Amino acid sequence: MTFWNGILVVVLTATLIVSAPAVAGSNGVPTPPTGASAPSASPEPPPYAKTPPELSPYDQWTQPRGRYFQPHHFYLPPSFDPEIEYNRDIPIGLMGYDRAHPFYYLSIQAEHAMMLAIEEENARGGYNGIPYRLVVERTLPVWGASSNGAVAFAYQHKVLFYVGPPDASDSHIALRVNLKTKIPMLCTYNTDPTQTETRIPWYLRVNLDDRQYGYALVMHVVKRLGHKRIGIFRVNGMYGRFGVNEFTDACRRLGHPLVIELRHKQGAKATELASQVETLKKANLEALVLWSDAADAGNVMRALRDGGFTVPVFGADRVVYQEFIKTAGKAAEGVVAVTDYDPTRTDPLNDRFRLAYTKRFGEAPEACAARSYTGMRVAFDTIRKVGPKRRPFMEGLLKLEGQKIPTVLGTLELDSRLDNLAPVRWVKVVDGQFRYSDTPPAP
Amino acid sequence: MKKGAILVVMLAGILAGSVAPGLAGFPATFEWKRLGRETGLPMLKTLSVEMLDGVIYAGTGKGLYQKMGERPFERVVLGEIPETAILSLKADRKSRDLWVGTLHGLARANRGRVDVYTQLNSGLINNVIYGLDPVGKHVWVATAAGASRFEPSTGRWEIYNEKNSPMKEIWCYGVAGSEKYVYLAVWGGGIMEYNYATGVWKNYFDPDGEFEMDLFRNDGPPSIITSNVDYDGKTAWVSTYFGLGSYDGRRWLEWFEDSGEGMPSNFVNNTRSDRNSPGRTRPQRVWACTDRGLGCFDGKIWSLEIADVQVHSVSFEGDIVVAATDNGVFVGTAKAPSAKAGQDAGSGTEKDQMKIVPPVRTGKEVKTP
Repeated sequence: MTFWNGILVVVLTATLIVSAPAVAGSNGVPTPPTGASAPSASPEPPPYAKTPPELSPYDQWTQPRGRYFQPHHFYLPPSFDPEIEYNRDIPIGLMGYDRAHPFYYLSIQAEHAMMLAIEEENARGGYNGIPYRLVVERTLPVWGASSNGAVAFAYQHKVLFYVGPPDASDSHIALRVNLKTKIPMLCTYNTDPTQTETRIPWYLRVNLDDRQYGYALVMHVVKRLGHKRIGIFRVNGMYGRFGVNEFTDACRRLGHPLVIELRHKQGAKATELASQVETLKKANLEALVLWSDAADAGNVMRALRDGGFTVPVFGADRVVYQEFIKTAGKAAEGVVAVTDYDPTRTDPLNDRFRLAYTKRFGEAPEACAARSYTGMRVAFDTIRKVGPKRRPFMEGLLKLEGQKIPTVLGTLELDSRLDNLAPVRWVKVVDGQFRYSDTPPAP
Repeated sequence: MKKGAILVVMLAGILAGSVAPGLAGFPATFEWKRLGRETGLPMLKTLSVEMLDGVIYAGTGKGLYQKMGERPFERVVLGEIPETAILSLKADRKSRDLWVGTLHGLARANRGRVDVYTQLNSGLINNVIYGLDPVGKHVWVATAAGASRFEPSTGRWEIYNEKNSPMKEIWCYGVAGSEKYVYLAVWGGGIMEYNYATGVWKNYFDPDGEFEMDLFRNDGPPSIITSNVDYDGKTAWVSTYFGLGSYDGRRWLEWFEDSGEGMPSNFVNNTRSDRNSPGRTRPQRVWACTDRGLGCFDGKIWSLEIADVQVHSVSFEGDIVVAATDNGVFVGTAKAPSAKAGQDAGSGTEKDQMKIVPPVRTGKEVKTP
């Protein structure tokens, strides 16, 4: 073979490989060239969202065609339009609620924490001397109303990013608007597991979700304590509807499907729950799990204990607010719940935050405040690196995948969905106080 | 020397493979011309597009623009609707009305007249409109808080949400139909089918019920999170952020970026069949607007028509295809000569029906524990 023949062969081979789309695959469909798209199927995928092996869906029966949310699955398409320039100040949004809204107790904590974080950051000079400014859009208690708020953030307030609403019924709607308006959204208190399972690459969540809480509760209640007859009492709203899904599935996968799932209306008083309490007593339960807002859960506990229901009660994260103890009174004793924030944890970040928050607002911060402050600190750290521009900011957040970030909540462990997989913390009500621990409390 | 040549060939192969362009689909079958700011667009992000009587209507992030012939794009003022994102455009080819779905309400434009419908002045359920379709005497509107159905001849509005239909969630992102069936793409609610004859709704969900996986191929919509839907009178085409599906009234088929037919990406914003494109002489195609470009399906494989740009919408008239992208509007014409009318194509004939090669059902066999 001469030198030029060799060159010819090389060129021909290279050309063939580059332009070879028509390799017959199964059923006669040719195989396309590959490149840009990473395959979603993997022979040995990492466990999704730290799912315990025994809780993984369908694993006893078969393997799925494809698995999503593999590492680095987010793709932020290129933008071709110039970014907004923030010269006078940098608006940051909060989709909150007004006083009459059932989730006001959460949104006011987020508002305070954001105010504190912004004041601190502005005291340090903002971003190169440009101060940050908080803009609050108060969403009406109507399903769908958050879409208008998300549009206002884009077209009226022109925010750099915003902190989304606590309820999935609002935040899903807002997130889809963000896909079109290309505005990053931080989640600091919505616990719906499906919120980060949409593949929309404009979202980061710092708090734990109900998948993690559900797994923790079921492993404790069913596997550790050995309860077999389990019931759920939950709010008839999106928090309850989506919150219990993973717990319910996990109970079934462990061979102990729920005996009963009852609902109560949002804002139900203890005196309105007599019939549900009777039904629960007749169900012969060994454990009951509550998935309701703090005040509702307090009313439920009062109704249960006043009605003679003596079975151990476990709660999801919205139980861990002072409003619960205030409403339930003595009926709260012994309730065990899950959360991601331990205010008693000794840690310089947490100590400093707790002191500053208490000094500024005259009350100790609870989980929602700590989460929102955490989100803001993560955001400011990212902006400092990439500047106050929406797409670079989101790119900066995407780089946090797989990282461990120390915060007032503890160490964030952000997975491929930019969702936090840090360990769950436990709480037990003892003598009218929340007692925190890193492991489930003894029965 | 032979061994040396083989080595050289192998090295060249490896080298070529490593520098091959990032192409997920098959080579483009259309030629494309890009229209950017130089043609009068106020910004490049274009979220919707429609053609009517040769005019290109572009729904940008800053309002509606129209392009007539060689003239530049001109702003179409939509009454009191502010400069906002236009998420959907669809022409009623009987009345020549152009229906415009925005983040601030619904508008109808026709020969200079503009009517505006909002959640405060009409039966429109929400101002954030993701999709719409004029179907017979109705205009169906998919909004962030349910679906509305408007009958322009009477002014009558009807609302469909979780209270009067099996709508699992109320976030409707696409709607398309005929005078027999209307399909709604509902975020977290799969596909809803409305039967005009009975007035009954039917749901289609991804049967595995899990977001993080797809258990079997061709078992239903690729995901319960649907982003849009089109119905060409024979087949409903369903876009999701996890692949694309079709339903012909009997069975579901699905295509994915890793299933071998060349889908550019699983993240599909929108899909549309050109089966009913007026005046079309070329063969039927189905289009997928993805985050990585525009895919074109001939029944067997997907070609990547426009690469490396997010595509939001596509429209057709005659043999022309127009696409709305993050980088302006693209106008495409087929590279291959058009088939003779009525031979290989032709709107409304049975010959025109695209023959789909059913993808192989994949997934490991179910074992008995």
